[in-house]
Amino acid sequence: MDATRSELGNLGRLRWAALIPAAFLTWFFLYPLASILWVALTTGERSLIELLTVTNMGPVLWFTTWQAALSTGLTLLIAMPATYVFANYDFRGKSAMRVAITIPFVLPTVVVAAAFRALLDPVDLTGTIWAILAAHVFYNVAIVVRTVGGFWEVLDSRPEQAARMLGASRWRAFTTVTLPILRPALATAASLVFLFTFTSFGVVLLLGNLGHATVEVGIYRRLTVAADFQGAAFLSVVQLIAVTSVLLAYSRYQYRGFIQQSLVIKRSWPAETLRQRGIVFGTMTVTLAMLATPLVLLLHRAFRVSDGYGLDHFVALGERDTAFLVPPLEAIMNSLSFALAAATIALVVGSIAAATIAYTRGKSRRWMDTVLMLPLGTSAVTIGFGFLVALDVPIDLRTSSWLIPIAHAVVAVPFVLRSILPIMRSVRHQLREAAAMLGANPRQAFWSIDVPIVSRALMVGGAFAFAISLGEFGATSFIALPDAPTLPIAIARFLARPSAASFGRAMAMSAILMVVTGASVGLIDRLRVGRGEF
Amino acid sequence: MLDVKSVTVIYDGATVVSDVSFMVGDGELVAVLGPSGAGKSSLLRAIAGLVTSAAGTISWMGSDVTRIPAHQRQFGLMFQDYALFPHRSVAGNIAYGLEMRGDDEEKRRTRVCEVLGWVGMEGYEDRSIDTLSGGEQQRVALARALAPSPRLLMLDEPVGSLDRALRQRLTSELRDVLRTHGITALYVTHDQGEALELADRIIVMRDGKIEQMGTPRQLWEKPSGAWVAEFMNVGTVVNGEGHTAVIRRDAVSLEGTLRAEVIRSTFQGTYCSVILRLDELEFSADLPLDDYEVGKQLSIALDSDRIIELKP
Repeated sequence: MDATRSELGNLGRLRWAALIPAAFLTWFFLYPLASILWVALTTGERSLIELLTVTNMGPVLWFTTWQAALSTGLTLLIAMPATYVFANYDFRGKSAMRVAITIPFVLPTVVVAAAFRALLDPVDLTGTIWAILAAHVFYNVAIVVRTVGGFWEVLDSRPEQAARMLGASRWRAFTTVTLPILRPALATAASLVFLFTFTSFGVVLLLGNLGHATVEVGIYRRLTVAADFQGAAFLSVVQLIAVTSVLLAYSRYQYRGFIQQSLVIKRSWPAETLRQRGIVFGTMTVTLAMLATPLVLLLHRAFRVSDGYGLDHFVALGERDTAFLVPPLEAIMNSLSFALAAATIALVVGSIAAATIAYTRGKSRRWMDTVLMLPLGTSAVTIGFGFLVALDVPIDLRTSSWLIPIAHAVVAVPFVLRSILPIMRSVRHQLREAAAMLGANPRQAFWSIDVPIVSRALMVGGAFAFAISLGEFGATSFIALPDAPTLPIAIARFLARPSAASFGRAMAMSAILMVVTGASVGLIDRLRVGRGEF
Repeated sequence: MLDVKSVTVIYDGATVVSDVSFMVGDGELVAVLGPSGAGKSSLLRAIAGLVTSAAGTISWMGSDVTRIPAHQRQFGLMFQDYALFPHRSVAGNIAYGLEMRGDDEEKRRTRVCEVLGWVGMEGYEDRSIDTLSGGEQQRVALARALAPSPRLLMLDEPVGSLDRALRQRLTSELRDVLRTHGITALYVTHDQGEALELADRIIVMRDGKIEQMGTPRQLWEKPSGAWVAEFMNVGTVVNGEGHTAVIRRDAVSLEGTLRAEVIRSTFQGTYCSVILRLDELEFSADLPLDDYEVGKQLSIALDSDRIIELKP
């Protein structure tokens, strides 16, 4: 019965094309990772104890873990009301609210950090653990609302109704029936949030003080403060092990949480009673206020000048600054061209890989599927550090302007793959059979069925990669050249300086980055919404 | 004319269709009827060319098509859950087969309009698939399969996923369309009511084999065995003294000398379905509307022409 499928497998000699993603991944991901391992194990004469001491391993791991756990708990707690409302009620502006809640998640970390500086500087909370926790909750609320809400929304409501009919109160029905069914989704969301906050770099670096060091920040400081490559490599290896364990737990939960979506039951209904309307309105207002305040303050500070509002901070971006070799405005041009290049690379690599996985059979596809997702579980800092350690051989790429786009592409490829692959797979076998029954040969079926359906996903993947590249901070902070900073790097530098003028410029650049990122994410959402089924 | 000879289909080592032979004449509407797992869909897919048969030949008008790939057989197939192309409009779906045939745009537009008319969906050309109801999708799927004028149209449980009332309406519409345009069709279903309503001939399948073939009337009047009699809901199969027979539901009349007791009675609208006990024998009968209280004694007669001896 797989006649059409295997014929497609030969299309365009996919087997050979598969070498492109394989080579890309080996050169720019596996090789740097192996180099880090090599550096950690071989350089220097220090014993394990010395390494543990010099890297401050115990306290760093402890801080990384408890702040991540606390951030995760707080995020779940704060996101729960909105999740409940989204899953159970229909109301006007629901889809707009959904987009609004997602915005913080897609914002670059430097923008989030800048926004919280705007919010917390006046009340003197910058540099405290509260700043870190607040920022973590801010951009992870969307994960819970989307993951848990998405699952909850299509959850069969009859078991709860059955519980109610058997005498359970509304609350008992929730805790004894709904909550256990939601557990896999909650676990998925929690492990994702934990993963993101465990590997948090920009927020901790820019909002914490010197006492706050996650493993990521530890790697960065080992390198920039002490020029200790082995210490940094050692921390990277520990980080890699920790992240892999979290990821394994996550993938297990994700597997269990899989539900058959074919039977979509409408669960949400308009709020009718006054009480229900109050719940919907109250929850949405509080959530929106919480998420909007830092961003509004960011914009406020970007336009605020000594005598009211104006564009002074933006204009100042064109001037040469003492902290930079080039005018900050050039950082914007750098970021845009890097993002374009990164998106192109990620699309080429990601789509070839996706096609290999979706259209061929055999060992290579499973290998590809697993290995290409690895960058997702590797912190951006590790990728940047790996580039620094490894990419002088065989060609010295470390001073090439391609280095940044390539690093960004490595980070973006899993996202591109994940936006294309499900769509490629969703072009059900049956659709190709239908095409065959209507007289299409396998090649015609591929071009008239697969390609049009997938091309939309390609655009989504491309926009994703573009947005990721624009905001990428972790890897870039290791490899950006002094005369070619990206927007996030420039913002971080401005934020690090105490002068009011620098702060204003940081705000102005953050505002620009926010708008550009918002535009590309808006494009993604638009492309997606058009096709309900996908 | 379709000629299926000794076709066998093997899936993952299991024989799902075993040595099946039959013919479908021009303009004939044949139903393949059987419970789920009987191999009906596999048989259909083998004829379509979507699965390769392990043995046997499939030919059309005397020429062997067994080795011809699906897209060159000029057979149409309407899928169970329609398999409409989500990225194409209604017209785009229907025109697909015409595009593959190389029709120009003008010709395609005319034909799309024509077949939409057949299924009563004029003016739906530009609608997108996900805005259609289940019944509308079913009609579009039918129109799409009909548009390229396939030599043989196969329908795989085409109304299976719809609710009962809609199913009945669409079944009769479907019959009208197929009859009006003289389409040669092979119709797979598990519902004997649908098969009786639609088909010129019915092929009853069970466990990958043909159990019986014949007109609806033949099947009703002369079921080949106890299994077919029960599956077709002909009546009650009774065993005794080495004989097996089926007492058809229409074998009982209410004037006679036999005394039977009412065990259960169900109101069916225009008649009553009653279970009667006669001595040790329990059987069901369709009787004219009346009040059949449980326990009531009836005087009945059994029409021996309607009690059919079955091969054991």
